[in-house]
Amino acid sequence: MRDFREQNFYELLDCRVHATQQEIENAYKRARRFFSPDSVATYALFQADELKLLRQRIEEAYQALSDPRRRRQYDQEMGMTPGPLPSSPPSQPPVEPAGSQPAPDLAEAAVQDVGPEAEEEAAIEAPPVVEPVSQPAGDEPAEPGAPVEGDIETSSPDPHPEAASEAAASAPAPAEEAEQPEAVAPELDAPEAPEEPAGPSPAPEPPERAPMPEITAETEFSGALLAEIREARGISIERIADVTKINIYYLRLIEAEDYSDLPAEVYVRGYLKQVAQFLGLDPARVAASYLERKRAAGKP
Amino acid sequence: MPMAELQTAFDFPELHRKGSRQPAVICVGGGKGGIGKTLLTANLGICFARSGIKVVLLDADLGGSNLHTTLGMDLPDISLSDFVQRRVERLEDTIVDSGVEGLGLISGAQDFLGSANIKYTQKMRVLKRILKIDCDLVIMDLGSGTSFNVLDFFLVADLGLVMLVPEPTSLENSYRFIKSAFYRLLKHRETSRPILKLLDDAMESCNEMGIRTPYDLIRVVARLDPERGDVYRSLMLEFRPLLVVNQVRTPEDAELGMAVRTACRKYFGIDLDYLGSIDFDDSVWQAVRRRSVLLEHDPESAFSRSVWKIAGTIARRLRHIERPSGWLF
Repeated sequence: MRDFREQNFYELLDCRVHATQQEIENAYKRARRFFSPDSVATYALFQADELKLLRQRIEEAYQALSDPRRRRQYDQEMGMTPGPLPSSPPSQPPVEPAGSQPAPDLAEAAVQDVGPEAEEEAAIEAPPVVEPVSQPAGDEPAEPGAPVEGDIETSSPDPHPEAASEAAASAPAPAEEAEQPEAVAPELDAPEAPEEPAGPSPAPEPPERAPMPEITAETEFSGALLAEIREARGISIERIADVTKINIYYLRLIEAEDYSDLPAEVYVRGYLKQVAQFLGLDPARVAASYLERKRAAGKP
Repeated sequence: MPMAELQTAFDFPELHRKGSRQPAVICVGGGKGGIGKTLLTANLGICFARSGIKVVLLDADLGGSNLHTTLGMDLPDISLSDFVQRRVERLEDTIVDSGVEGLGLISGAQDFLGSANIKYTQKMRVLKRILKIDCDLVIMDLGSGTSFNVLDFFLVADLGLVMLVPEPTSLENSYRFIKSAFYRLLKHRETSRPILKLLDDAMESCNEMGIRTPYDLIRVVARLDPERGDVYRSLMLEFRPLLVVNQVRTPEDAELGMAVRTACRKYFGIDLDYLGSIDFDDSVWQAVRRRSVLLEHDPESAFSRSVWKIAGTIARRLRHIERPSGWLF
C-alpha cells in the first residue's frame, strides 16, 4: 500500500489495470464523489492542501486513462504489461463467472466483499496479463441505494461454496481483481524516488516468457510456484524487493523454501501477502497455503 | 427477504465447540459515545445465541456501563469489578443470566470510582481471562474515547468492529480511533526505546517529526531501522478493523462506508473491512425507551434485519481466521 502521493493512476482511481473504459468512467465519478471538498468521509481526514493535491492527481489520472492512446503510452512508460484490453466492447454479453454475480466494479465489489468467500470464489485464476478478458457488461454506475440491497444478497450464505469456488477457478473471475485493485496493479516505483539514481529501469519486458502456470482452487502455493508465476509475469525478484522493501535474501529463501533462516512466521506471512499482492494473487490464500506447507515440512 | 429466511439463512457451525476451550472474541468500538455500540452488541449477542452457541457479552465500558439496560435487565449485583477486586475467584463467576437462552452477561464495573482507570496489571489479567471464558463467543462493548484501556480491549479481540454514524464528529473520532489502535498495536510489539519514543510522539497530532499518518510513521521508522520498517509494513497489511456504519438515512449515507474505506486506505494505508450499514430506524430509540430488545420484539424492523446481516458476515469472517488472532497475546 502506498500513500496517495505515490500511487499510480490505477491506484488513484481504485480500479484495476485492465479496467474497461466504462469502469474507468465509473471509478472516476466515484472518486470525485468520495473526495469532493464537502465529502464528510474525507473532510475529517485530509488537510485542505492534501485534498487539493489528491483531487488534482485524480483528474490527472482520469485524463490519461480515459484516452486510449495516452493510456497505452502510460502503461508502457510505467512498465505495465500492455493489456489486451480495452478492445472488447463493454456491451458484449457477459461471460458469467460461476457464482454469477454481476461483474463488480469497486463500488459493487465492496458490497460483495462480504466474506472471505468472495475471495475464494474469485479464485486466483488467470493472469490478467495474458488473458483476453472479456468484460461483463454489468458495470452501470452503482445506484446509491444499491449497496444495501446487495448486502442482503451476499450476506446469505452460499449453499455450495466449494462448488462455486471450483467453478470460479476455471472461469474468468474479475471479482478478485476489482476487490483488491492494488493486487493487479504492478506496483511501481514512486516517480520521484530519489534514492535510486541507478539509471533507467530495464527494458519493459523480455520477448519470451514462461507460460503462466495453471492455478485452481486446490493449488498449493509452493515457493517454486511463486517463482514460476513471478517469471511468467516477467517480474524480477529484485523488483519485488525494491518495491515491497522486503529483504531480497528473504524473498529468495521463500522461493527456495529454505525455512532455516526465515524470520518468525508472522513476518513471513506479511512478506507472502505482499508478494502475492504484487503478483496479483489472493494474499490470504497464498499465505495460508505456503505456511501450511512450511509447517508440514517442519514436522518429522 | 422474509425474516424467517434471514434467520435460518445462516447458522454458525464453525463456532460450535471443536474441543477448543477458547472462545472467539469480537468487540464493538468506535471512538465516539452515543452512536449505537451498546445496542449493536446486545442485539448481535441475541443473534448468535439464537443460532445455538453459547455467548457471553462483556460490558467493557468501564466508566459508564449500561449493556444490561439495553437487554431490559436491572443492574446485576455482580460485575467485572468483583473480579478485578478479587472478590470472586474466576471471571466466569461474574456472568449473569440475560434472560435469553445461551446469552450471559458480564456487567461493567459500576461501583468503584476510577474503574475506567483500571491498573495495567489488573487490565492484563482481565484480558487474559476473557480469552479463557468457557463459551463459544465473547462480544465486548467498548467505551468511548481512545484511552489505552479502550484500545487494549479492542486489540485483544479476534475481530474489532469500528462503528460510526454519518456525522463529521463521529468520523473524526473513528479515524482517530483506527490510527490510535494501530499505533497502540505497534507499541505492544516494540522494544526499541527510540522507536517507542517516536510512537508516543506520533500519537500527538502536532508532533515535531511531522508524522500525521501511519504512512508517515513507517517512513520515519524505516529510515531509523529498515528492518523495523518492513515489520511495520507487514503489520499494517494485517491490521484490518471491520467497519459498520450506523443510522443510515440517505443514499449518500449508504455510500459512506465505501468512501471511508477508500479514504482510509489512501491516507493511512489501513484497509478496513466494510461489514455493512444499519438503516436508521425510529423503532430503535422507542425500544430503548421501553427497555425492550428490538430484535426480540420487532424482528422485522430495518434495524433487526441489518443486525442479522451483519451477524452473518461476522460469522463468515470468524470461520476464516485462525484463532486466536487478537493482537495482544
